[in-house]
Amino acid sequence: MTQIIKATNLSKSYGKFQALKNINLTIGKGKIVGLIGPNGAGKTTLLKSLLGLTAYDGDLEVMGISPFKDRAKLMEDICFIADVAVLPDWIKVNEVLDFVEQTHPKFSRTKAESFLKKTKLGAKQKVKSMSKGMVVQLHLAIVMSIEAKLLVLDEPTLGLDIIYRKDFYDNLLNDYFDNERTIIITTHQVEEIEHILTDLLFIKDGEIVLDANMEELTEEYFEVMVSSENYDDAMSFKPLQSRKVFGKHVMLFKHPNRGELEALGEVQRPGVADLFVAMLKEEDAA
Amino acid sequence: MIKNFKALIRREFWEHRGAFIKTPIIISIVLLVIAIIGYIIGLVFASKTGSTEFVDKGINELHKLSETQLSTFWDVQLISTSTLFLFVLYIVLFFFILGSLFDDRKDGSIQFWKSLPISDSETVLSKLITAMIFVPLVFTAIFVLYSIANLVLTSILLLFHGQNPWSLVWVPANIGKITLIMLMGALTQMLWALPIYGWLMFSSSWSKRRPFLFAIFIPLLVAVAWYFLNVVTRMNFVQVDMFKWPAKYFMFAALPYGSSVSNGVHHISLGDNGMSLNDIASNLKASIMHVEIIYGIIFAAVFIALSIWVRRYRNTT
Repeated sequence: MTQIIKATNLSKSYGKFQALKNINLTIGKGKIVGLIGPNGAGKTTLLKSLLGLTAYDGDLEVMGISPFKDRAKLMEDICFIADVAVLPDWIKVNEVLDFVEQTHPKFSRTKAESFLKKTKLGAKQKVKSMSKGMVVQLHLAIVMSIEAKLLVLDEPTLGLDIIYRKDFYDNLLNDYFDNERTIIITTHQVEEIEHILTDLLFIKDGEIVLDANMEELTEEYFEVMVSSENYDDAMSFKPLQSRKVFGKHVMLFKHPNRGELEALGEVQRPGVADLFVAMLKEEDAA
Repeated sequence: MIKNFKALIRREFWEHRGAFIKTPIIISIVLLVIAIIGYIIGLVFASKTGSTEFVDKGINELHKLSETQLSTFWDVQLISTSTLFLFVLYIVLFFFILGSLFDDRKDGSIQFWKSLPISDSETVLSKLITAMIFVPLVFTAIFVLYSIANLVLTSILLLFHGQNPWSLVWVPANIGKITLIMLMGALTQMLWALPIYGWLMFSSSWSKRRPFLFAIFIPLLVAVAWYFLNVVTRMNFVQVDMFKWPAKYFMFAALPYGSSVSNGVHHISLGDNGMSLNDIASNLKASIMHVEIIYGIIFAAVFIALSIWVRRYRNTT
């Protein structure tokens, strides 16, 4: 099975408010997908649907399972970290390991213990006495020791120190990810994850406005450092966005021909955040 | 399935170690300390006043009692402490269940529990089973240990005074029977309390912020509405019967040994002509035959099913 997620006309309404509007989506195996969108765009609703936490209209299959009907079974193959601080205060390291070991058929305790050895956490330590960063280390050690096919991360590094944030993604890439696995990440700190993503999903007002892989994007979207003398020329290419940095204009173009743009100035790969903002503006204009 | 239940029930004991295990142990220790202090006060009193009345009544004259009086003496002691244990158990379980489906929503850890391959019915039922079976068993076990410690302590004191603990303590005090009665008491309590547990569990899953207020005020509102409905429709201003019915469940759950008294009046009078352990045992047997228990079970089943539903479909963050 190469398709991990398949959504057809997926919709969800809360009363009159449509949180998801006829979303069609497939996500294949071995992808790291960034799900990006402003607050209230439907990110959480989409994730909740994938995790079987909410009812929806339309068809949704996650690894061949209908998530809402068969949530408990689905959880054997999905891991999710919703927010870092969700381990209960009262639990001790060895207790949480015991619990997951007994309830999760795909958990390897040896693996978890070897991850934990690299940290300062002791077996008897309570979550209450840990810093937020340590809780993340524990949670991540557990999640990385589960042989899951899909990992869903919803703002996993919210409220973390910068040093832990970097470690978090490094560990994830080095010790966990392989081409058999799929990861979906939502975050506000797009810059942190853009180098690890293989695919991007932009969501806005309950609709997917962009579904592309990173390579495609870099073939179509360019950021150009335009010097003042080329400004008028550059404007004729209708940049999606333009800002002034150190006397130069940094412009974002959607253009099929890189060569033409290179005449205007130095061409770079655009940042996902800039791209996102530009795309939203483009949407609004259209 | 069984493995999940085992893990879930252990989990409850990890979280509530204090309430489930430490509470009965502390009660035991306090009772033993009170006994020792009482003895010491008696001795001090005797040495200060020269009157040995205190010590005599408690210890030196114990052997003057008849065999029946002696066993009644111990029956009263053991029954009253087991009543205390069951009452505290009831309060502990009340608050445990009230928090059972709420606390993890409050601290956000529900997200972690829900990320494991455990169904919501397993989660809810494991909490119920913990409250119905495992915590009462722990309280019973600690009560039995306390009773033995109490008998040992009394034996030592008797030996100090040259009395024979065998005939005064170990023959008349019936540990086996009191254990059985405590177990029956816990069972009776559980059966009467079941509708209350069901309601508390539902409050715990439904309430967004204050499960306690929800659990108390909704029934009160219903009662007030019912009262005024009766006032308006039947001009019936005095409706004591209305409160009798729910009060019965509360009273019998709190004090199961008195629960064969059908009008809700509780008294345990022990003495030569009073109730013996055997009477209490047959009272308990009669108590669990009440048809109200069946209504209670049906009520509980409905609200526990609702709790599972709410936990599954509404409690998602």
